[in-house]
Amino acid sequence: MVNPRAERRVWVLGTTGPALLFLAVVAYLPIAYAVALSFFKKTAFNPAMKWAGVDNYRFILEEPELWNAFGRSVLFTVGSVALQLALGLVAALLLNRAFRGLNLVRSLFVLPYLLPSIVVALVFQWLLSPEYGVVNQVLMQTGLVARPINFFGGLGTAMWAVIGMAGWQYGSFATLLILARLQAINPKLYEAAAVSGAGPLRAFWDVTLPALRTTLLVIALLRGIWMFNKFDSIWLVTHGGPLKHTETLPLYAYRLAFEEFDFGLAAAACSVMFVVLLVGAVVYFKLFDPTREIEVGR
Amino acid sequence: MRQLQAYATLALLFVVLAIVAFPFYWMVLSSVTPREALFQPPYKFVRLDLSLGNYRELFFATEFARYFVNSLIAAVGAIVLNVVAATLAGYGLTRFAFAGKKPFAFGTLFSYMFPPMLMAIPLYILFSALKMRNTYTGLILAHMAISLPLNIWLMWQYFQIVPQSLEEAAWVSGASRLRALRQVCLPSARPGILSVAIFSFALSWNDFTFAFILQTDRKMFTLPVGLATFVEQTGVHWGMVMAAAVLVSVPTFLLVFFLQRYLLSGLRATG
Amino acid sequence: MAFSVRLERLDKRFGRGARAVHAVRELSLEIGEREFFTFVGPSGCGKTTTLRMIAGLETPTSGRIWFGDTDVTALPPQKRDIAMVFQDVALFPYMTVRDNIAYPLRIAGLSRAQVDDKVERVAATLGLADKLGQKPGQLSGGQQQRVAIGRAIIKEPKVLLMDEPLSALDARLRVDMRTEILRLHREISATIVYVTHDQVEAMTMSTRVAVMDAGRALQIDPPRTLFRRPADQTVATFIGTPAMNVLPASVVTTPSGPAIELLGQRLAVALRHHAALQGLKQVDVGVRPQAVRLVAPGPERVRGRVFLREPLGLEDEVLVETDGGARVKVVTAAGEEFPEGAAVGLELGPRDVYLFHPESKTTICAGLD
Repeated sequence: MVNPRAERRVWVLGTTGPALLFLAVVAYLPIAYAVALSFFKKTAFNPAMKWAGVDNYRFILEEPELWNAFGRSVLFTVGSVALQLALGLVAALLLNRAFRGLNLVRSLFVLPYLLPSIVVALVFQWLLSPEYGVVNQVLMQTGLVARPINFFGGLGTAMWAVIGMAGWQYGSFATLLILARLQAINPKLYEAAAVSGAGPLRAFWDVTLPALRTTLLVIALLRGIWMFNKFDSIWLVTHGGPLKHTETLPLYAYRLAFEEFDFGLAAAACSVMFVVLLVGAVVYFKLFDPTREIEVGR
Repeated sequence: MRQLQAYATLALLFVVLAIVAFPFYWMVLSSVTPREALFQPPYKFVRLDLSLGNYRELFFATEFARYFVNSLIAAVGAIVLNVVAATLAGYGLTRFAFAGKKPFAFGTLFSYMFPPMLMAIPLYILFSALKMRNTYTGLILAHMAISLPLNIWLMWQYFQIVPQSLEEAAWVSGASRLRALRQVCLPSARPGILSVAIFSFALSWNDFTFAFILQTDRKMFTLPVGLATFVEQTGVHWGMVMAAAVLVSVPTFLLVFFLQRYLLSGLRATG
Repeated sequence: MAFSVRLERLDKRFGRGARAVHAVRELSLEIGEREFFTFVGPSGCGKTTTLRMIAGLETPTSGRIWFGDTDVTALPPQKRDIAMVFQDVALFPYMTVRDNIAYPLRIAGLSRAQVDDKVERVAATLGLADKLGQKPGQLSGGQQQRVAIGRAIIKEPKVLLMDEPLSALDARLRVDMRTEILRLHREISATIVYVTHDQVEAMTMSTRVAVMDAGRALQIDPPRTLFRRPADQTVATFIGTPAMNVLPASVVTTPSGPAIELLGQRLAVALRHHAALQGLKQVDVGVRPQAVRLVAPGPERVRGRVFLREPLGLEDEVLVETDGGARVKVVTAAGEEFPEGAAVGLELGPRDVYLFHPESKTTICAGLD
């Protein structure tokens, strides 16, 4: 007769153990390691590590580069999230009607999200290329510009081009989420509003927006965190250029690690990113308590 | 007036659809455009002189096939490990009562928010020390870092919907817990497991950051990394690059379309 | 041979400390071999928890369970030689009806040939012979429940447990299935332990019924006894539709002993009950709606007005508001006499009047005679 208590313990550990182990090793361990490493001086050339205390932090926090990168991160985040929300809202409102082919269109809207960032980067580079890009061709043919615009290479345009690209990649997904929420709104509410004398604009303000409030907030917060920490898309099209004009925090950390080969500094930069992430996560959990969805009581 | 409004809405809809669809169209069109035509503007929006030359070149003149295999191995590894770990965890979390579930939920969700860049650098240093860079294992583990939290969440929610009375009926019929899990619970959880598999595949197949930082040996490049080097080294042969882009995008699309029912239920769960 | 089931001070608490839910409180009872024993009561009374403990799906906090002479408290469900039918049917959705029914035998290791034979016989008994190749999703609710029953009886269990098996079915189906289950009980020789919240089901099918409330068994008796001699007010009002009327009354002292004064009428109490009324000033009086007669108003009768009359076919349900303001429900033959608004008198036969203790709610006497 197997001891039921012990057997149960085996089951609990056996089922949750692997997942816990993986999470600990591949997610939490690196973070802990990075934070620890940030207090040491370590470069790629020297295998030894020397204790540096808060020197690394002092260095990057005093240098303007970190703050510039931080500022660019904020700009990129706010810009791309705003664009995603705008595109998402407009498209969702337009699609919020039953028509044949809605499912096909919905499938179309999920595609950009499924693309690897490399593909998005390449396609946009090709589209926006100053010599061969079709966008420039159209712009010139219609007489809107006299010379082709170097989207990803121009000092004034690079960040906006990157924001636009990220907006395209994730905005269509936002459309799907907002559309789902829109379609769940009780149509009787609009009827009640109309009967009470509200015009379409007023109805939008009083019925649609309040219903969307949570969805928009969730998208904004989640996407905000993702965009703040995005590396691949930006790096692939600009490498942080031109002249570091698109170097956001993640790209800054990358440069420290793999172009200046100072891992201690890079770890410090990573820790700064982590702190920002922590703040964002706390806000998110406080506002929404997503763990509520899961029965944790039983 | 109303008619005008309807037309305006329709027009706006077409503009939005065009914005979303055009890059795809251009990507596919460029991939079948013959090389000579690609570098001679003006570009036609519709062309009839299509050719598969770009694809041919891709397979024979580059290491595309090898990158494809690497990506596939990494993705399959990620799928297997994710499915096993997430399914077990989901079962254990819903069928047993024990302390620490709330911190577990928090910890899982929180780690889902860790961006790849944040973990790639420490992993690089760690794996260098452990001689795990440029290995399949290392890459698969790294991919799990971004996909496992989401999958645990998925299976946790999913198992809450599989009624426990099914297993109880099996127990009462004489089956051990293990047997009931295998014969009764798992088949009912199939849609959830498929969602997990799709997510794991997509996240692994599409990953650039980890593959870029961890795999420095050319032979171990995955497709996204390989693609990135195309642009730098081949003097930008855009036709071939677009052909590669199409091929890299296709597997995920196929997977999603054939199994989209399961994916939608998964997406609903995560928002 | 079927087993008897004995519960010895069975107790179950969920949670810990101050917020613990005490689902079953030191329940002791014995179910005889081949009985059809039903636990009935409102939601949350502990009946399902008790059943699940008998099944081994919940572990008691304390107490023991005996099947015959064997203490099964520590045994897991696989080893208890029981079968169970669940409220949500719980058929394995990806297996055919045949495989569902055969499941317990396959676990036991029987060969295909042996299994097929038994499955076909069980299926024939339940009228499922032509459905064996289908999946549960293709069957109706009633058919699914029959498959679940088939899966349960195929291993010829000693104890058959049923957890509200009919509550998911529609009313007409429920009546048909009740007959099926009764027929089944006659054919197989198992002890059946049944849980339901529907007292009609309990009353029509069982040899004995345990009325439960807040974790305790208020009364365990054959259905007729429960109806005629409820042990307390809770049982009295739970059993029987429409529910028994309960009205407050006072005890008055008369030269011939204590008497009851109800709604202005004086009711005599037989000698043998006088001692029980000693010292009481108030009682609760219970009388079933079917036992009240509507008569012309007059002296010696409770006076009132017909407030509402609901036709139910052969009978009418009448709500009478007495002069004193109390509301009494009466079931009477359908008719034109005493329409809504009419003045009416109520006649109670002494045999049909129950007296309950105002605080403890126990039955002081069933009938004043």
